[in-house]
Amino acid sequence: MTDGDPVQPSCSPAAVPAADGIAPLRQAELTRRWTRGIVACLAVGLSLTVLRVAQLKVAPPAQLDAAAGWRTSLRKEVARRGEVLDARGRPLAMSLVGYRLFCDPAFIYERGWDLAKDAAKKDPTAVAECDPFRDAAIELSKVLRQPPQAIHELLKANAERRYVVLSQEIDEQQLDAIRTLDLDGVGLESRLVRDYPAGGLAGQLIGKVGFEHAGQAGVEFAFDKELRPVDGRVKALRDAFGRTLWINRDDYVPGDPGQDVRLSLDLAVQEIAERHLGHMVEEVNAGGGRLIVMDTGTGDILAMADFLQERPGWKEATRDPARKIHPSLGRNRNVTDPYEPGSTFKSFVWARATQLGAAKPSEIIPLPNGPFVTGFGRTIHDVKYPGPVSWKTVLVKSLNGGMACVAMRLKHQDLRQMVSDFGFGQKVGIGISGESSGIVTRPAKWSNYTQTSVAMGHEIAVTPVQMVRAFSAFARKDGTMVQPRLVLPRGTSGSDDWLPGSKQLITPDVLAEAKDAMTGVVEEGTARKAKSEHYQMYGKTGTAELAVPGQRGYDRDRYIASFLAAAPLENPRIVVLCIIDDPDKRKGHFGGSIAGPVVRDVVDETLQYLGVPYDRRPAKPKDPKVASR
Amino acid sequence: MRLFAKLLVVVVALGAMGLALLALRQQRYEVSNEISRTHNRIVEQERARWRLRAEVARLSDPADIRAAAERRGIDLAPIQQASTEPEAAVGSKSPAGKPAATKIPAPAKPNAPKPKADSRDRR
Repeated sequence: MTDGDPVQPSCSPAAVPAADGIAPLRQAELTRRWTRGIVACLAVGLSLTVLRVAQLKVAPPAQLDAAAGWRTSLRKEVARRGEVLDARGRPLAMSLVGYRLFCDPAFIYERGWDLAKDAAKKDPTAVAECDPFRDAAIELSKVLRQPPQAIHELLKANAERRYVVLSQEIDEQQLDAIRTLDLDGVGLESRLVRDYPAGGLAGQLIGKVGFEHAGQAGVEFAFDKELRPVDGRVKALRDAFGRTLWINRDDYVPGDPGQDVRLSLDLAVQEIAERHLGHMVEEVNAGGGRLIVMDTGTGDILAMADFLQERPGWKEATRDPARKIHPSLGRNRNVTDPYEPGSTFKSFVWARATQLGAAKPSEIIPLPNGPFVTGFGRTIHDVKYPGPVSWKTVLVKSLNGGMACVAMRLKHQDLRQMVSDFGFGQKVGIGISGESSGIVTRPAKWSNYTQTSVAMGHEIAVTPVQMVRAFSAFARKDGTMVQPRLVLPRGTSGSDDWLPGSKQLITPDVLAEAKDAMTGVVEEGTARKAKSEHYQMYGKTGTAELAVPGQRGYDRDRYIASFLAAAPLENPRIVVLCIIDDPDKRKGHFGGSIAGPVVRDVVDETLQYLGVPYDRRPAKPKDPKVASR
Repeated sequence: MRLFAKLLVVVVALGAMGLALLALRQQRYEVSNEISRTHNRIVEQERARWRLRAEVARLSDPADIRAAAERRGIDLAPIQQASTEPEAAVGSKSPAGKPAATKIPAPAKPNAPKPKADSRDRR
């Protein structure tokens, strides 16, 4: 064998693979196959898992979906209704979360039977004695402070129902007790309830909300749009026990609370007004009473009270059926019900007549010592007939004859213009629904009779809020009339001292003369009982006969007594109008004697509360020794 | 064998990533849960605040305060100033419903400290 010889395949055992050399090859191949198999299995398994997850996520089976569905709960996120606040931010109406207690009698029944069956395994008589509602009724009776029999009857009568209200609203103690008891089949449902912390104060003004928490009367109704909230919603995932697990960001939509409405009303002044008015209405057994306190600088209504009562044996002239349902549902008569102002109206006629030069305060008006008869033959009666008196005395003594005499010197147009200038026959626009514009005779029907009637405050009907607006012209140094304000504008501090009024209605010199004459009304005239020990005030009384409802003419024995005043004298802060509707004549009926003292007391307490210094020195006893005795 | 080792590494790595993701997911849920519980607590506190506000308003009703003061014989009338001149009232006008901090100084005694403008408020 040489180098050039081809190499022959070796037949030696060393060259030929051994028979058992196939094993490692097969083993490697096997390992590879196993590996591939495992990888394939894992891949398939993972793919299946991914697919299953995707399927569960995207299109879960209906059964699973239903089972998972109950775990998420969509509930309303209760938003708060806006608050009604007074001028100082004290809440007059606010919303709270109350709890309604309900139960599921069907569930209680089934649960009771299940327990009885369990008990029957030990004691076979237990089923026969079982009363599924007994335990629940006993426990609930302790919480609701009701006899267990009543609750048992209620549950038994509604045994097939799933929802029965046990109490519309439970208090704090009951809430804690229910939560502690943790009774099966008994639940709590939160809902908004409207609370009026001041009780019935300013009830007719604030109004009331209904079952759906929507305003039904007063400010609650008039400003319902502003006060009304927009509820939010929360979708929460819950665990098997109903506890909240989490809330996704997109599943929470917060509620939008309603806006607060801030009134010009001052709760303390309101309380003063209602207390004094209420006492007088009761004292003279009147059919009702109305009172307004207004800030002269801003027109802010500080108090607005309205009482109405039904007296046994009386045929009431004023009725308010809604008030019988709930006092806060009644109409606010200070805004809705016009009345004949009587002699209080003389102050406006007196001022305009003086301003137009029809009479001077010191001028003697030629009145007879009896009823005054006008040029067109109308006889004007008075309580007293003092004969010729000054124009100032006509107002101080409230003489109808004198007013009629001077009114006839005015043109009809002048008096009509006065009525219009002072805003009578026009709505005030205070924001309360149902406001009346009053009643004013049309120019075409304005006769001499009207001219003399209006001069005495007859043949015209005004609302109390119109009267205080008009009288503010006497209480502002520039003789302008301020627009009454019940709701303070949003975004303002509400701390304005003075707001501009209407055009000048009374010139400064006439204003001074009118104030002087009306001071005389209080000091020596018809309103002597309204004289305060602390503050000087000026005003005008009125005692108008009550119009017979549904008929022409007046009831000669029934009256509307009123007093309209401003105080203190030099720098008036408030205008107060008090009206006593239909007092018992036997107990008093003159404006000066029954409405006057109310105004006096309200002025005294309100000005003290507002921190206005006294402008009248207290009367000192002449002899200190006598006084000390 | 090497392939198996690689596979093992991949599976372990994926497993670790999966576990990390699950842990993160769990943490996220726990945070969400805590947020929702906090939300519920805030709602409860807010409702409690409304309730307390109503209670305060009810207890500070002017009529109740007056009645309580009368029961205890306390005179709640405002302190009147020494000066009762009508002109003094001009300029002391305060916003509606807000007791005026008077601008009328009490007659000062010689060498006496000047009264502070807000002395009444501090009372």
